[in-house]
Amino acid sequence: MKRSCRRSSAAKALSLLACTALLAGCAGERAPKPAEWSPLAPPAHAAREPLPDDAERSAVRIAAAALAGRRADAEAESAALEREDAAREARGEERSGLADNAAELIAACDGSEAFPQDVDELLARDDLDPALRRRLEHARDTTPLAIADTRLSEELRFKVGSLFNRIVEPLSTLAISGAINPVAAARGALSTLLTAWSFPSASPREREALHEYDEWLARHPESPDGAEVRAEADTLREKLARERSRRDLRGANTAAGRHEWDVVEILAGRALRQTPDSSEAQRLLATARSELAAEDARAHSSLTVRELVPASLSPEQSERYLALARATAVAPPGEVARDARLFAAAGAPAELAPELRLLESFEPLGRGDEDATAAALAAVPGSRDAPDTASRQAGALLADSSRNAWAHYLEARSADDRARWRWIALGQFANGFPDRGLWRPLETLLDVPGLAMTLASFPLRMIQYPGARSHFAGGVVIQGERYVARYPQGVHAEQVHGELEELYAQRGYVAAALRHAEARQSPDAKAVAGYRAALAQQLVDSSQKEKRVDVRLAYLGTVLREFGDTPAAKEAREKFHKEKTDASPQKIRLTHDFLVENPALWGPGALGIAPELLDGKRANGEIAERGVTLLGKNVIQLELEDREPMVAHVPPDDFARFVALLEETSRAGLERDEREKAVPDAARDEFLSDARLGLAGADPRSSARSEAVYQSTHEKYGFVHSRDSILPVDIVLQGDIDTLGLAAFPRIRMPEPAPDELLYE
Amino acid sequence: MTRAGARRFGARACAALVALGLAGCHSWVPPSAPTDQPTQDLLEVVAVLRLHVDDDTYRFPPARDVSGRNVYRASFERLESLETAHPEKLSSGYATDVLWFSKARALERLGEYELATLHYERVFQLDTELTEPARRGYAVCRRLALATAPDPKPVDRTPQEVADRWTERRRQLEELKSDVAGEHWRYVVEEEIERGDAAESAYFTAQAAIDPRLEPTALQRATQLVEVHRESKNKNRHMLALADLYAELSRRYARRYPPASLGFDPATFDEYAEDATKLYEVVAQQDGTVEKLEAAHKLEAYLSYMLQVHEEKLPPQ
Repeated sequence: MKRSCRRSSAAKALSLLACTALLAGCAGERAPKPAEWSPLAPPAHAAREPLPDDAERSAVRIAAAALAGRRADAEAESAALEREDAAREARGEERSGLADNAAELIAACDGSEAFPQDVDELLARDDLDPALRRRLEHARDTTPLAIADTRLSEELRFKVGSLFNRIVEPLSTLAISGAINPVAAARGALSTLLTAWSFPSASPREREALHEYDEWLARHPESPDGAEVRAEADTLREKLARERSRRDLRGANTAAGRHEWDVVEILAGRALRQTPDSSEAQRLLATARSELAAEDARAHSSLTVRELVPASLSPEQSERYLALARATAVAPPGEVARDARLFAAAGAPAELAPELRLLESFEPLGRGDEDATAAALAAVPGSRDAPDTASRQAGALLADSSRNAWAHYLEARSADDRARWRWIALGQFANGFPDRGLWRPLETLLDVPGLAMTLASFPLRMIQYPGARSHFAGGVVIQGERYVARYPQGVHAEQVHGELEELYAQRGYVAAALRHAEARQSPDAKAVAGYRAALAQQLVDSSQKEKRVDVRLAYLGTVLREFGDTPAAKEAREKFHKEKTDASPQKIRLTHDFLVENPALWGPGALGIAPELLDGKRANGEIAERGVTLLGKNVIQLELEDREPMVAHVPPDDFARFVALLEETSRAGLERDEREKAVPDAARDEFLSDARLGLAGADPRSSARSEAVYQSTHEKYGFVHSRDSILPVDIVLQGDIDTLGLAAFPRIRMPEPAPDELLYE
Repeated sequence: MTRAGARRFGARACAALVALGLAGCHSWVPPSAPTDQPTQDLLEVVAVLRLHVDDDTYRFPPARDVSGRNVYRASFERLESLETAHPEKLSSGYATDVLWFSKARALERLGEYELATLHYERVFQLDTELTEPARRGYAVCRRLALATAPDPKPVDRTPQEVADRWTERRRQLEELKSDVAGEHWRYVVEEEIERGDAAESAYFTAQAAIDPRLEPTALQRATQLVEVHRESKNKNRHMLALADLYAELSRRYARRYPPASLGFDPATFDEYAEDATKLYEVVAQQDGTVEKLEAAHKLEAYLSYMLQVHEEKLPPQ
């Protein structure tokens, strides 16, 4: 009895202990705070805007007069505004801050053509707010003549800077390190000469300047400055025509070296249209035309036949010849070969021998013996001194990279071996000395020091070789694929599959490696499993790079369906589940810090979030770093610290106002901060545009979903605002272990490429 | 590099060195006649043609002869040349059957079934050893000619009637394909089925330009062409056609709703644009094919167009 009581009390004590422990654990997790239960504050209107004062009413009247084209009224109203500001100042009050906007409005009355002329006057004012100043400076700097001047000065800076930077480095090395390494100094001097030589004579910057001059001339045909601008434009145009002609002629000469006369005809013709008096273009065009005519004549000749049957045949041989021709037309290849052999043995004339050997090569062809067919075809030319036409037919068959794929595969492999050895031995000079368009012996001379250093660094390339292996063998892969496509059951298929598998694996093309591994007669189960695992992982990784959720799901679904046995399948399943559960028509996110930076967005009349959630105190609940996500329509998701995310509906009117404020905030950021760049996202803009009008729906198409993120300034750019140096040069300290050279020198900073440079390349 | 790979590389390196050593030695190269010389005689023409009669021209491009031309076309030209040069000898009946039979074989590979039928017919009327094969060729080419005969009234038909005609054409060819399963004509029939499918797709693509209601049908036919003929030598060409269609639909959409207008829906435009770019990218990655160049340049051109649309459709923020 006592023992049972003791057992019972021990059990009670244990239970009590467990309960205590459980309660202690629960006590560690704080109870939800009111704002976490209900993250949106009770509906409240935004603070009412004060009624417009006299200055604001004046500003509206100026705007109305400007829009209606009544410049005099606008100016009169502007004067009234100035008087109002003066009166405020006299009373010791703040000025309205609207005078600068009024001045801009009046300047705008003359239209966009005349506006740039007024910009300088506006910029001279000292009461411009920074955003307006930035906008005006932008207007001034984007006029055609301003852009043209900027590009031409950038071009000059680029050329001077390139030469200066190339000269100053070897000079500094010589000055500091003495004549320790005259070779490096000499090479530096040579590279300077080459830089000067290779400056394009019509660079993209100059072409853009030409375009801007033309644009200006089209807009201002009557301007007194027209003659000067036209002259500058003509100079640039002539330069451009010469450059184009030079390039076309260079291409035409290269094509002529390769006997590609149709290309020569096109390029030389183009050069001639640019520079009609170019004798070189005329000569090339004439040569191309005569070569093409000769080619046509040769082609016509090759399509004729010398005789129906050889004249030397006896009547009996003639009948036999005809029987052989009939058999050739319809009989199986083996029989054709046999008949040809019999005819040859029966004393066919010598001139028929190559044709009969060509027919004999049908025998292995009938058996499907690739190697024997190639050997038989190679044996068709049997004479040392009598070129015959049947041999060239055999040659054509052997030259066919698809039909004779194995021989071409072997050839590609040999070429690859040679290329790799050349690279190991000669590095960057593996394909000869680079062509800079200079006199060839001079080019060779210039590269001799480089070649010597390259040869000396041969051991380094031996070390680099395993990593560089994947850059080779492109031709082997193409030819190998041709072989297995043409002869899937071919005698060499197993070998080709094995080698292609290895090559693809080296390049990281796992899918292709897997295809070839599986095509082998006895697939290596371990290798196949490895490729499958790697491919599945690649698919999972790729899915995360896709913007569209349906594409992401398709990738993950493929992993689950096709590669369910791989380790990546677990991750794919989790991601698939997350994508599905998190699915929403929109996914536009505003981070915690962005909201803190812009309180108007979440205040009353906008998102209306409870202020405790953004006061930085976690004890009363706080929105997590990820912030708030717009899910579509007027639904938002709030990520809370230590809590599950909550979904809330914002009143439609408040949501529309929030969106308008959000767009206004972005626009103000773009005007205020030069680091801000407009990020293209059409789906985001479409959603916000509809939401502002109260039309935002829940478009289910993945292509309509945006995952834009609004971040605070310091999240994007950090806390320190770095500024570019006002000096046009950087100071460089440089040391080189190879040459033991030390240098310290200024380097001219090169101009950044223009944002639309690609339109002029 | 694996050990096996290293061994192989070493062996090849030795072979390369030996080859380099021998490179200076003069080796005998078999003499070969220049490509512009006329072919020797009838037997050589027939031999070359016979070599390629069994070629799978559905999966692989037709072979090229010494002059770089389609081997069937070049053989046909040579046979025609013989016929013109030796009318007396041929009119005596000597080798006429071989010549006409060979011409028929070349013609059927060029899609000229009606002409091939006529040549086969002339051969079996001569009653030689080639009579039976010519009879068989005649029968097959006759069916091919009937199945592929052009529509006498293409303009008067509704799209549905046109689609029905293509379906009937495909049915006849599928039937023929099973009848010639073990013979060289199966490749000819497969090519003809593909040609029909491509023509049907092109028809609906063209019709969709006039009637937007046919756009889904055009897309469906073009997609089907890619999927059904994935083994064909023209698979890259079909993919390019599908990409072109997507690109054209995106352009058409942007014309209907200018990007700056309020009616322009970026998601709709992007759906077309994304499919077009992906298809161009796929073809542009096909090493060793001619279409690679075309696709790369089309992709570049299309991306330039998209850049313009994106610039217009984006509000400045």
